[in-house]
Amino acid sequence: MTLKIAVLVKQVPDLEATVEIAAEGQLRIEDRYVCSFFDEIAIEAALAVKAAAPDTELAAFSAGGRRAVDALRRAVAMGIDQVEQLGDESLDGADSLGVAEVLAARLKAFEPSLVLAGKQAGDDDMAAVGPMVAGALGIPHASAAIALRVDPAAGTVELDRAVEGEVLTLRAPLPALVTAEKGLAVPRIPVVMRVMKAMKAKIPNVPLTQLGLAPPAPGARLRRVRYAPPPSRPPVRMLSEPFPANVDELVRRLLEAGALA
Amino acid sequence: MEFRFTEEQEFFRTAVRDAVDKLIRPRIAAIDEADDFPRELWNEFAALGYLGLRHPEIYGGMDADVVTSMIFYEELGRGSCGFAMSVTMQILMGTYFVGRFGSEAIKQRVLVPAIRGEKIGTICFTEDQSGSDLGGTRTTATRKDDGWVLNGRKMWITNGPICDFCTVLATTDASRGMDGLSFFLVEAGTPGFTSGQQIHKLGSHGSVTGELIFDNVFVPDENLLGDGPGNGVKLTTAILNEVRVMTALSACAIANEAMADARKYALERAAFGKPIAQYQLIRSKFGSHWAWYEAARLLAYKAAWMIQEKLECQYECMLAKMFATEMCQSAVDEASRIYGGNSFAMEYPQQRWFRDARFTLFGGGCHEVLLNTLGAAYLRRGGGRLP
Repeated sequence: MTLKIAVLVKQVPDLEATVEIAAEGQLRIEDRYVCSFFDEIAIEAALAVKAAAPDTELAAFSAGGRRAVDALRRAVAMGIDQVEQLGDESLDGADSLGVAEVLAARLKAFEPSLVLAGKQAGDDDMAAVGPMVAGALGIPHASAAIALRVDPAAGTVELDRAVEGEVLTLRAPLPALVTAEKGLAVPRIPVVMRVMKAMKAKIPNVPLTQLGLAPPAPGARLRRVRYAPPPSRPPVRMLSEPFPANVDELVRRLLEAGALA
Repeated sequence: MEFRFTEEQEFFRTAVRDAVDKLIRPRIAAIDEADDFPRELWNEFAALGYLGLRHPEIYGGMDADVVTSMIFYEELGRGSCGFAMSVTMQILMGTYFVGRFGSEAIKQRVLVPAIRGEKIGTICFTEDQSGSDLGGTRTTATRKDDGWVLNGRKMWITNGPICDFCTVLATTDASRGMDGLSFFLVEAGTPGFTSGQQIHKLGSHGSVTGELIFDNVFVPDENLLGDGPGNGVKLTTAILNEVRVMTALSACAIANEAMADARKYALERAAFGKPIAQYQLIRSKFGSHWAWYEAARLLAYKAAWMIQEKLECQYECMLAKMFATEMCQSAVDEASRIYGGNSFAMEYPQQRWFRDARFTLFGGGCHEVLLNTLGAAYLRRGGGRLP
């Protein structure tokens, strides 16, 4: 069978972006976004399958507004030619289920034999959209793969998961959805010709109405109540005593702080 | 007016940043310490294709516009300063004249492999007694048969000791001063062309810099790059504009990285019971840097935009270069003060930014010469009023 792989991608704040609490349940995030780390691994894994089976059809999908387009440009830069932005900015407030409904609506028509996604998004770490899409499509789901073996002839996918120091191997019939863990693949650095192609690419948009989803977009049934800042770290204290008195002082303070038994 | 990069340019920036973060930044300290040309990194970086940034696609380039290329140089500046020097030499000056004036045979022989990183190129302006003063060039090119014979020595040549080809500025008629200068292509292996002493630099380690010697080097007519002899200086204005803005943005990148390191340090380092970032004198350094940095970057990108729009901008490029690189000196100085005594330790990164920043003062024309030119231009303006 000819494989059809769909990769699900999301744009998330760069690890170096400044994130502040703006108001209850709202963050103020610096405008520095990148494709989610685990999603890039999923893209690379999909490209590896295609490298082994060149007639494989690859496509990447992202739900949302302008940032979805940026995530898809990254997919193009890495080597996926067919990409689609699903919906628009109205999805930016949707929860995991809302996003999964949109992706699943498109994938029903696309009929992939394999769906790959990151095991979790780099921002909210919900690890929910992948399994929810699998649920909506009624296909098997396995998370956090560190190795992937697709057998188009047998119509199966086999994957390894790291479990408590052991490796667990799972096999599922296709179609199936697998999420990517660190170690599955090392995302490539795109070559400049692909970067230029991605820069110039017109990213096609599929409106929600075309997916049979009436606007407004699926709302957030899961509501953010509040963000609490992490407790502030006490400042570093320098010990002023000379050696070896500073060692005694260090031990005394560690005992005092309960760090040593 | 429009003060935004396009979505495409923003995307390009993230792609370059990703490459610099993954390939170059993990090796910055090692490159600095070894102070040798990082050939392996060069090959890995060349494989990404960025060396053809400004050249046509038919030769393997990407034909990027000026602003996009400046985004590349700025992001590259966040990595190793020395490696950035080697790369920018290759992309800009090292291949500019062969790309613009070389015959098709020269382009296939020299430019195409240079874009792939297989050949390394450089340009030779500076001599022991002349640099910004191009009129002082003493290297000669004398007519002989169907070609030219070059004699002279060039100094401070980035990539010089490892170059496979170079574009040499030489005088074909010393009596005509600046109007007697021309560019010639000289390839490695040409009899009489050798490498002299290597210069051990304060900073920008990883780029190799040295002397090139031309002792009765014969090159055929097709190696004269440009529309006939004597046109050399006229042809340099366009490329020098780009070099100056590139240098300005490299300086912005160095300043930004030095202060970003200092920010992290100030938030962690405690004195008298609280992080030093909570002291007003330390905070003022960041506030002040922010203002100068933004101003420098605006000047640089405005100049880049003017080049792209083909507007007359020789002075704007000089202003951008002068201002940004002075800002950079101030930034690395303030960053080192924030680090205190630790800025003097080789174990911390501040000393490297401090050393690397110095080179931006001299590449693309030293400030004393630029300021003299700018001052004279200012005095010539009608009424002395700026727009």
